[in-house]
Amino acid sequence: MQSMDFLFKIRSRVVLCFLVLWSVAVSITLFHYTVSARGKYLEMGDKLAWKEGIIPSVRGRILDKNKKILAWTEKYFDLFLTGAGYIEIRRENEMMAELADIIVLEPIKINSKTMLLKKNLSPEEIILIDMIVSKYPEFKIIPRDERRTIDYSRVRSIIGTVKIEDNMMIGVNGLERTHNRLLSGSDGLYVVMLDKQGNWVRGTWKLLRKPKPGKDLILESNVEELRRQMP
Amino acid sequence: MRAMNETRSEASVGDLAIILYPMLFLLGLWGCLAIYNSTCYSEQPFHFAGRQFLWLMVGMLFLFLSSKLSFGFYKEAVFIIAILFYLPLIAVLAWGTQINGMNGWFSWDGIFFQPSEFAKAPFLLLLCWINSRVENEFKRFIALLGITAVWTIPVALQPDMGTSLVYFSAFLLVYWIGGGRIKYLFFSLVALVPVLVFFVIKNPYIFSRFYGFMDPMADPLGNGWHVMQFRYTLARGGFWGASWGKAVWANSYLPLAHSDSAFASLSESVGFAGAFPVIVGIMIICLAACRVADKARDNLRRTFIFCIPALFALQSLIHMSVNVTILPTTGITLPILSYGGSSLVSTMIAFGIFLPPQRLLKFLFHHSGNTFNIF
Repeated sequence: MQSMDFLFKIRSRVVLCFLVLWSVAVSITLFHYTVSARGKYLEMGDKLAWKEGIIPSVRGRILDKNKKILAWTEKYFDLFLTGAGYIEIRRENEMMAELADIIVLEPIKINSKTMLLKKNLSPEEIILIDMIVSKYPEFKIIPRDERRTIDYSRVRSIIGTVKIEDNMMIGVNGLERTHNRLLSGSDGLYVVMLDKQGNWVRGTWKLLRKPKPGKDLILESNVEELRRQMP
Repeated sequence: MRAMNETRSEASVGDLAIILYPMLFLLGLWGCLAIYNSTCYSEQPFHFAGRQFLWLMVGMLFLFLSSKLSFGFYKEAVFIIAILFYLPLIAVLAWGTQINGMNGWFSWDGIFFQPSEFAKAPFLLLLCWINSRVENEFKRFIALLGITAVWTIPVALQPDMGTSLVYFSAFLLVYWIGGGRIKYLFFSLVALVPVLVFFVIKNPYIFSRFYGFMDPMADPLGNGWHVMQFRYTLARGGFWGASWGKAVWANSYLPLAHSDSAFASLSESVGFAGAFPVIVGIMIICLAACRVADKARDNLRRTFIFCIPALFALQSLIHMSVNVTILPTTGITLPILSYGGSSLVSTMIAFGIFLPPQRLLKFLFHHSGNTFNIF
């Protein structure tokens, strides 16, 4: 019995020493990652998760001398399916069925990977599909700026047109081109943390630079005078 | 003299209860906070933490109830207890619910019950009982190994390799503490090699996990993903932590932040300053139990008192080692702190089997300044 007691003491101490040494190794490693090597891993993690994004500036309006708006910008939201053709068929069917239960889809194939599911979502529709978009990162709601002009073809040709390049609206001809700098303003910049599905992590959005909206261009003529100017 | 020794042993185990009851409860509370933190960005931030708190209360109740029965009762009823807890291990294979690819739960009205967790303490009790009863060295080894195989195979078939590893560790621990021969232990480890080879061939993802563990920087977005996420999470915690409710990384990137990655998740919220006491606490439980086990005269009781906290510490250290990336990912939870009612309640019951509450109650309600002698 005494030898058993002794053996128990020795062997239990061996196990304890093993566990204590192991816990010391865990503690040292914990200290290493939380304190010693913290900067290195923080930087690596930030590179992976934090993404910068542009807040496009709102293009200034074009008004006649009576302050009647001739050209302005409207924001729309479109729903896309990205990675189409690469998603498991069962999952894609499930995703689409869930979505179709909520809104009426009008799918248009953009390219081999992307499909426009619905153009010009209303605010109510955005609220309704918010949960599904968070659940399935393949769905993306993408904002789109559209330049609108007054419905007079003669005036429209004086005002000119714009094109969108890298999310920026650039005047191509007419007043839009000649006064492009004044109308453009400057884009804002933000950073946000993305989760592994690519969704924004709540509470991590930070504004780095405020967008400056473009200035309004006020013409020296009114609409009728502009119409008369054109042949 | 013998009676005096027994009384001294009872008193020491009772003293241990004065330390262990509050420590287990504090660890449980710490776990609830960690779980809240790791799920605070979800739709229902209190869902898991609230349930865990409820389980903690149930666990404390079971700790008290299981400790009310004398150790002699468990000793007498060891076979009945073992059979009662073994049968669900078989039944779950046929009628169990699958979660995370494992067929290891019975579900009833939204409550999940994991038999392999509840079977841990009866299995250990059975091992300790065989160890104390069988005199012949070889027969004892075969009996312990046989029982371990019988209990581990249904768990491995679920497949729950983490719990299987804990069961096998329990066998190694009991046989070693019980004075087993080193050559038999070595033989049992060698016998494990073909099982491991078979398992690795059947699950080739283990190779990629291993490569990812060895050199996570080589493929941080692929094989090394989990290892790198653990490191980023720990780094975000720093020394003082990112504070409660701000464990963004654990919420967004850690796999199973409230269970398999609980320690890393905790480290992000409370930093080194809050995670290190957990390691210390677990080791104190283990050291205190060992001190008390030394004083127990009965071989079965002594082995059991030592092995329960040692196994608890072993499982905790495996979990923490995975989370601080000194071991490859295994999928073992942190007992008491990780989310899971079955694990929490079964751990409490296991401690309750050898922790009589009388001394604790006396200490709480009639404390007259007596010193207690844990160390």
